[in-house]
Amino acid sequence: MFVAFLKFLMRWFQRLVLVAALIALGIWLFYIGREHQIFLDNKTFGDFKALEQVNVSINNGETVELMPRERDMKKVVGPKFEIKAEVFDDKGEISNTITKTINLCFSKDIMINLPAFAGGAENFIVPSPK
Amino acid sequence: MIRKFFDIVANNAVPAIFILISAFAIPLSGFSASYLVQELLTRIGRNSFLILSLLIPIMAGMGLNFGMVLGAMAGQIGLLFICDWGVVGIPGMVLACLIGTPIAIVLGIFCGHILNRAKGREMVTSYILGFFINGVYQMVVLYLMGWVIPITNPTLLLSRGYGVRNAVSLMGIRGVLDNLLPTVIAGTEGAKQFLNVNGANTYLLLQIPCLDGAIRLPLATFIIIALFCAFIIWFRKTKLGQDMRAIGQDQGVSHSSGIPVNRTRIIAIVISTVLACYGQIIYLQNMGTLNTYNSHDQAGMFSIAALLIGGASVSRASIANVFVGVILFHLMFIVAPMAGKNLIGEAQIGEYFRVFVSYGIIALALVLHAWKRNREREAARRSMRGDK
Amino acid sequence: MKLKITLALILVCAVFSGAVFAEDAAFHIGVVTGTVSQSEDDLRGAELMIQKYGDSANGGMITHITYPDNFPSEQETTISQILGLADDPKMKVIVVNQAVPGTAEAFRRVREKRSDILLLAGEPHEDPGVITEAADIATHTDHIGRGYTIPLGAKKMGAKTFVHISFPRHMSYETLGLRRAIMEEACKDLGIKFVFETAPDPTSDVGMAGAQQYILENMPAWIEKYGKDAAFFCTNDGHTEPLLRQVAALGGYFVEADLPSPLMGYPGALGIDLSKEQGDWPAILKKVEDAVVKAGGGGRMGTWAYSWGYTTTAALVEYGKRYVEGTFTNKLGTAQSLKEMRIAYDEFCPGAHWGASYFIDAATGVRNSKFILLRQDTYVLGGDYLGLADVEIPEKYFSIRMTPPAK
Repeated sequence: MFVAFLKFLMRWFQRLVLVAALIALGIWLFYIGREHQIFLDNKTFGDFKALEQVNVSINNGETVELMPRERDMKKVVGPKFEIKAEVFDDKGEISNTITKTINLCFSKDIMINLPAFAGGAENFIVPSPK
Repeated sequence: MIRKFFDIVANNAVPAIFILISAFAIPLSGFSASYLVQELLTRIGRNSFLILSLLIPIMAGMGLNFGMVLGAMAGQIGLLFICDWGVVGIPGMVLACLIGTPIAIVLGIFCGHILNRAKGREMVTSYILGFFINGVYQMVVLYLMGWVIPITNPTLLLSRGYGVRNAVSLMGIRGVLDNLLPTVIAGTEGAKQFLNVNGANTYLLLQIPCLDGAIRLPLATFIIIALFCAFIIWFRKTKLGQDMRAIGQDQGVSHSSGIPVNRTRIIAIVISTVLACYGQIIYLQNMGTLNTYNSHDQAGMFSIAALLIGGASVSRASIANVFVGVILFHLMFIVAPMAGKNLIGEAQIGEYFRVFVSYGIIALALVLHAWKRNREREAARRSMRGDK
Repeated sequence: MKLKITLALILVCAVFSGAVFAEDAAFHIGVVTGTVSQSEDDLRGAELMIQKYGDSANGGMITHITYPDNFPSEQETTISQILGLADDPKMKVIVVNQAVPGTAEAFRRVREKRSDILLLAGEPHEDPGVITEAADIATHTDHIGRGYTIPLGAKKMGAKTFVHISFPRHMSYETLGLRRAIMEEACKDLGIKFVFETAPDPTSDVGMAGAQQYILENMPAWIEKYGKDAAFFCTNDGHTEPLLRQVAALGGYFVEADLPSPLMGYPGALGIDLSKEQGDWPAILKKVEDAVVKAGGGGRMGTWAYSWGYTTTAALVEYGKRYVEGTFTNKLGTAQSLKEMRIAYDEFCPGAHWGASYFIDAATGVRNSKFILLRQDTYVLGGDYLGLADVEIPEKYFSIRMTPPAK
């Protein structure tokens, strides 16, 4: 009797573990497979003025040029990405290059304010549009 | 002697007729060889999984499982979720399979229970059940999604805020499995041209010198199909597989031998439904667009038609039937419209020609099967009596 | 064994299939339409172009094929048909009217194979965003403008109620569902009552016959309920014929069909024989008008003088031809291409008046310059033009979203 009950428990336990493993797999796939929209905003943010020109590339991909008040969007797959921003000064030369790796975790889209990012501020991630 | 010849013709009548018509229609259609081979390879990769999912219920004596459309709907719900969440690539496809599986299991159990109460009339019952679940699916997708079921992506929803649009773009997972191991078969000229257009690094190349043009091979999909075939062959040898075969032979005897007939039949349908779910996801990742309300309509009909054309019957089907069937059936689909048009000079006739030939052959296959069954019974009776 | 024989036979046949037809035309234009049972006008437009430029099988320009009648469920076939056109090395333009679901995917595959082919979609069933990703230009009836002008036309004709007849599949199309919402709002503004009635989908299990029977049988009850000053509108071509028959016989108004044409529903509903007037639109219009007046529907039923489906097929082929030849030179998607598309349309409608504009997405306000909206003026049979093509559409209707069907 007791042995039969134990077997019954074992079977249900195994099934529970299997279901939990599948759910964990699902969450992991969701985490690594999600496509995120990264909005790049070159607008004045508090003390940081809009940059004259900034060239941004994500994960060493195609470079996007942004003039003041412009906004662009790039898509990335997966939670981590590397963003490289090259700031140009008035003379047209690169005055500053910032590279950072950002981890999105479970959020969907983010908007990066480039003046704040280039200025080294901590809170360069701003609420993304609708 | 004549009887033997007659037997061979009768047993393979349907594939024979199809081959004959194709042989006639291919030159008429004017398509190039590389186009035909490319289209056929694409279609084999796209449809084989769905047709293979029909084999297990046939083994269990439950006839042709029209209820596989339930699995197709489950797969589509999985795809709607991954489109909403924005999960792309292979993770997206696997996640869609993961989400579709429990839905397919539930639907399969439901279908199995109903079929157990309709023993001997499984095919018609599963066909009607397909319509019923279609209505439930449409209600879920057109009214509950976005309202009770949390779907938020605006490109998915109608602008009224709930209900899914009729065409959903699957760009995120388009061709993801097909292009996982991209392979190309090309002649020397075709290879150069292909590389110029598509870039050298990502493609494995197999070269056949005299070929004109380049042919893409969805190698990863074919590997998955091969694995599935291996699974079916292995499954037949397991206890569960043997139980199903026994039930397929004679339910009464199986029951007396202690096989849980009803439970095994339900398992057979559940397996078939879940595999149809995966098959539909593979089909749709190749198509690239999901017709929310219609993509699953013909999943059952066309798969069953292809299987019958491959020489299978309601009570016996093998893996060879699947592949012969998919080649012949889809070859007809590809060449008939153009052949009909070139033959008669009117564009519409080609379409009617294709419909007439394809469905006429299915009807013929079913009639021939019934006729063959009768002949077999006759032959059995004769041998029992001791006649030759 | 069977497999080997099959494969061998196929290879043998494939080798012999490299047949080359005598080709005299410089390039080919592929035209994909429905069959006569689905949408006759589109097909007749293709036949006009074959007459004008020759069939490619005989050395001319046009290759005409059809998509399946049951296109919602046979997407594979549709894609395969369109892709088959790209197998022809001389193909330079592909026109699909109507661009049924599957067209966007087919266009994507054609692009992958042949990036030099111009892809034109007429009356797309897929969302503007989806089809314009794949096609070069798409043209569509102005569902936003007509959402306002059709109720306006109904009011001008004397209607007090507007009955909109459709079914879930059509209401899940963004274009048709949005038009319904705009009609509802317009009726409120114009002071007429808006009602939504459901009828069966011809592609469902009841079929075309069942759907048409439903309309025939329910019209008397609807006239009873809404009165003889109710205007009726249906979204499906198949529903139009029985609707017209009943409106002529029992009363009520009919402004125009979803895809208007003198041939849409009228010949079948009133038993008009138009075999002698084929292709001569003014003559067709006259004959239909006489039949309508005779049946007692004069002044109550309207249409476009020239068929939308017919004109679209012809205009898109013409546009494609002139673009490849270099007569139309302006970059696709710019304001100039709008002008050139209107030229192509006007070519086939002497005397009629077209309004054209770009599609604006209600959600984002972004203008989609690959999606062109067109509408023609409505002509009341036994009456006159209503002057609807020149009506200025009030701003508010461009930002309306779909709302659920009023029950």
